[in-house]
Amino acid sequence: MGDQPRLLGPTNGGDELERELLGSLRDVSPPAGAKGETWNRLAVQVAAVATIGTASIAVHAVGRSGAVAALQATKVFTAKVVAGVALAGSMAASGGWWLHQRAVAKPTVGLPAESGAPSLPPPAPAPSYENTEMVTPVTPAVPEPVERPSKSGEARSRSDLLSLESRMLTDARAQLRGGDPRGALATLERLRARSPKGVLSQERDVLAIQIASALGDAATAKRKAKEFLDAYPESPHAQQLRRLATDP
Amino acid sequence: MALFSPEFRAIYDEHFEFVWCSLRRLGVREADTMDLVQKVFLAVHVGWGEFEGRSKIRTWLFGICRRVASDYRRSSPIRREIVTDAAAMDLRRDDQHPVGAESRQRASVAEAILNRMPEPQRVVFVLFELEEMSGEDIAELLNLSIGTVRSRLRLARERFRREVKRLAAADPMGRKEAV
Repeated sequence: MGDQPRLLGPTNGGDELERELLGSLRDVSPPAGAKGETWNRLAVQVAAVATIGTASIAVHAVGRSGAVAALQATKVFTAKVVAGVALAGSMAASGGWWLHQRAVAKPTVGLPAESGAPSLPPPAPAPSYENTEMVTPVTPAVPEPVERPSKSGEARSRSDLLSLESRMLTDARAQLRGGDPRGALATLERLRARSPKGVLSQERDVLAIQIASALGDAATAKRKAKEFLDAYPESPHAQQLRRLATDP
Repeated sequence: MALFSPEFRAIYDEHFEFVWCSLRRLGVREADTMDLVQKVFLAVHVGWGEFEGRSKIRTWLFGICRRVASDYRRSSPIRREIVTDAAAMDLRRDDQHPVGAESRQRASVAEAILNRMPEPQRVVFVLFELEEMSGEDIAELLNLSIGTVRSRLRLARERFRREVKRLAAADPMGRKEAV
């Protein structure tokens, strides 16, 4: 015996409202930029694990019982990422696109001015996924500061800085998503004060633009987007910001 | 050295939207979806070597989505009660076809109805009605008998119809706007 006709199928004579309601769920789709941001997060998380060599452990776990163990292994991943984020960050940053860009003096896009405008839903961050060849760390999945194995002072300093930046950017992004753009702005200001020339300065600038949008300060957001594009025309974030900068 | 194989990247490219939509239809709030999509693909990355091609890739992916969504719903039961903000729903849109308030409202209502379904019924309902999987594929994916799949689908449809009728009765003149 075959399957019954589907409610949304051509031969189903179901109620019109049933079909409309059910059909509306087919319109759900990821927001712009979600694909790129998720990829970047994934890259950071996997890089963190790869750096400390736990991937083989996780894969071994998967080898025993397939997809269920894969999920369990992700928990191992997540736990180990705590220990690996800083190291992975430095590894990823060493090959990261914007670290290379930082070698060229670029203006820093300032944070938006506080305004009294009502907060708006935050736009989804959207790095240009299509042009992202490999690791482009945006935000470590587990942002807590960690203990690291001993290494050279300079490398440790860079890892510390990256860890701090990652954690504070994660916090700011969470605040923005949670409908608190002013809190996000304050976090970014603290980050700027502690690390004026951060490794993740582009991420910080893009987030600042998003906060300006969320605060309803469209003019500032647009101006900062244009400044960013002038400074970093080939940035993975350029596609997203170009749309904002050219909106009427 | 590349962290990800070209095969993994291809899977990500091709199925990202499917994973996103599946999680949403399984009751994950829009605000939490990105985190869970990341979790799904991390599991895929770790477990890719175990995928032997005996099932369709989407079936395998959906199985992971279902477990991730199930964990999510169990760990945060209150989230099930939260109806998505219709104005912020991640509905498909483009310049020529902007999403109107009515579309958002409909999707929000439909999501609320799904959120009230028992999870076993909801999964079968989503797989059959939205993912258009066959009863046999659903049975294989969920490790159920075909009879159980049909039974759950029947119960889910009854519940769905009951809710829709209730909405229509609550606002017979403006059915689409009823919540």
